[in-house]
Amino acid sequence: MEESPPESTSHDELVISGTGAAPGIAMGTAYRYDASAPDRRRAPISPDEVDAEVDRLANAVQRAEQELETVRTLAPDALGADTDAIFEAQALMLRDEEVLRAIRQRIRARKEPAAAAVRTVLAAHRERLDDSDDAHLRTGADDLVELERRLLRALRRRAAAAHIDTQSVVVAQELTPTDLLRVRRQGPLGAVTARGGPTSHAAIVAKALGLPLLVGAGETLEAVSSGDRVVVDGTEGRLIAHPHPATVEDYRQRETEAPSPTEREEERAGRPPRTTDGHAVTLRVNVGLEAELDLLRPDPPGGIGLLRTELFLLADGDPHAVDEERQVEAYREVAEAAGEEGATIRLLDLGGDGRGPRHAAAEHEGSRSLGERGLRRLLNRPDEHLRPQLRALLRANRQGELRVLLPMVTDVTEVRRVRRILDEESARLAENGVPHDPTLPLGAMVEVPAMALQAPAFTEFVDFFSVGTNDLTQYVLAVDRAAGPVGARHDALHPAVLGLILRVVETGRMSGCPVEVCGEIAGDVQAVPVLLGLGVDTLSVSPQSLPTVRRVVRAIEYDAAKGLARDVLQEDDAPAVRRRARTWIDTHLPPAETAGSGGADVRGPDASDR
Amino acid sequence: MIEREVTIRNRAGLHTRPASMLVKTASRFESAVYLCRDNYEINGKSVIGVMTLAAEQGAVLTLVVEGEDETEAADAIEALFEDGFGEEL
Repeated sequence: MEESPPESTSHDELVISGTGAAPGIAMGTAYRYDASAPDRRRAPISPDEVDAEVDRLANAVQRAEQELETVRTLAPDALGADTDAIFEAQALMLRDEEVLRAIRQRIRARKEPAAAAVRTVLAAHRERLDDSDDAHLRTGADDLVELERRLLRALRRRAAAAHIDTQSVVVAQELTPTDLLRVRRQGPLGAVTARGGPTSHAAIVAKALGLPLLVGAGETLEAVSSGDRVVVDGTEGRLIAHPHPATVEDYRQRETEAPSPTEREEERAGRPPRTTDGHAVTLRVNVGLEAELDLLRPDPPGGIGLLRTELFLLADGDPHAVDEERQVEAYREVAEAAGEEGATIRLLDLGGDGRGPRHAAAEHEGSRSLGERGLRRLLNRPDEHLRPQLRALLRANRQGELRVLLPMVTDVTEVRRVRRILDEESARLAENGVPHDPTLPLGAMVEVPAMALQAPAFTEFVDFFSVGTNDLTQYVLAVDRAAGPVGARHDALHPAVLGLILRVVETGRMSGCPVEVCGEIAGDVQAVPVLLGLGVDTLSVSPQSLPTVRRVVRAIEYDAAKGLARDVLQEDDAPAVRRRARTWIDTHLPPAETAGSGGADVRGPDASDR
Repeated sequence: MIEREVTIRNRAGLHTRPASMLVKTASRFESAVYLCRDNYEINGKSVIGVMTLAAEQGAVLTLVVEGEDETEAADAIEALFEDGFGEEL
């Protein structure tokens, strides 16, 4: 076929360039997804609608906070040290009482629709910033624009999610993280948006989901209609509509060369990896979002090591998702995705550290991390979430493939109370003839130092331990990682944190109680040899870091790693541990053996990047 | 009631990140916190308010703190300004 001039008929190949926001190639049929139009109503509402409008605002704020938390959880550390600070600022803006009060006042006094009131109030604030002579301070206006959009989106009535074909590529003006999560559930191949940049929240989510995404395709994207054949190249940053057969062929070729998700999946499908001297290490995966289950096919060899139910159930801000019936369904789905090794389901960790949805009222640090969160909250109001969740787990557990994990455990007493409630619920289900499997292993998160110190006392009441290094580090080092200048001191490779982990591992070994590590550190290349050396033999990591961790494990000599662990425990601080681990990796892991196809650099980030 | 003058020392000024540090600190205290620049006064617990001060490096603000724990609050907030919010000066 001859090359066609750009201005010819609509069925000729059309190449639209944009910015690749999440890598990968997707070929399929375009599906136009346009969320409902923003609420432009300006006409006053009637006095009896005022209360409902104020409620809508409150719900929208909550949904927006939820969305922000979801994205924050998915955001990799690699985005830079400032990421947490940025999310923190955005969350604070959403919760700015002064501004919310002004918005409510306009709704009440002037009978403005919520969306209009949001626009007016934020525009007034923005003006002050736009007037500034200082370029850096003017960027605050962008933050306010983002806040306004976030609130307006949350105020929008939800577009009924039409059925999206699994062979389609979603084409939209703009996609929010929530949109992306919602459409991803239906399994499209990729997505393209007219607006947005590579650092947008949608980009973070797309990367986490392994969904090719092209952003900033501009107005030309209007030329693409539902049903058109398209190729999205999230790596090179372009969209090709009505591709020539030659173009399709070209991309097919590239698809087979590129380390495609399929190839990574195959790599996962093998047996548990072994170190060079034959020590087997179980690798499980952490799951927060339903869409991530798709990344696990075929079955992950080690099963699911951590399902964060607060994210899984509440990711799209639908409060009904915690209904018992819906939970049963969700856990069945998880059990199936987890395969033979089953799944560890962590009970709702609400009001938490920013890794779980926050309670809107819990404003400052103290009440967030040291207050009523995790198991404390569950036990204080057992009928609210604890009992329904345990019932749902008992019912979903048909062939013993589920395990329960308790978040933020402090004392043995708490575990005993959960055991008792679990027995009561199981008895009640039996009485009512509801099918369920009462043998539900119970594990405790090792996050609170008190719990780690008393580990031997717990072995009588729990079936396994799971070390949550993010929170453990925060509590041991008294550092909040979002706390500006000291945030960088939040590093689980601190000798004190490692010493506590060792203690729990030894307790586990003596009592036959398995210990696994499921925090972010488990996917940190420098930490893997240290953890193995300490005696940890089960790691639960994100689906994205699984291939890299697997390669590192295969390159490690277990005996040498034990020596490394002994040495790092003698170091003074985390940077010293990292220096030693890096040197060890340089001498013990030949790059040729560890740098596999398409993987991240197994040498990992420098201490200075963290 | 405590009233003090504070100066923005960090190069980038009181932009979003320092503003949120300030609000987080102010919110830890019971006392009411206000910041004032050329007759424009804002609530020190409102991050958007603090941002709208548009206070660049060298700008002088009046910090007003009133309540039970006003001394501790004023000291903690003043320390943030002194430290340039942990940013480049």
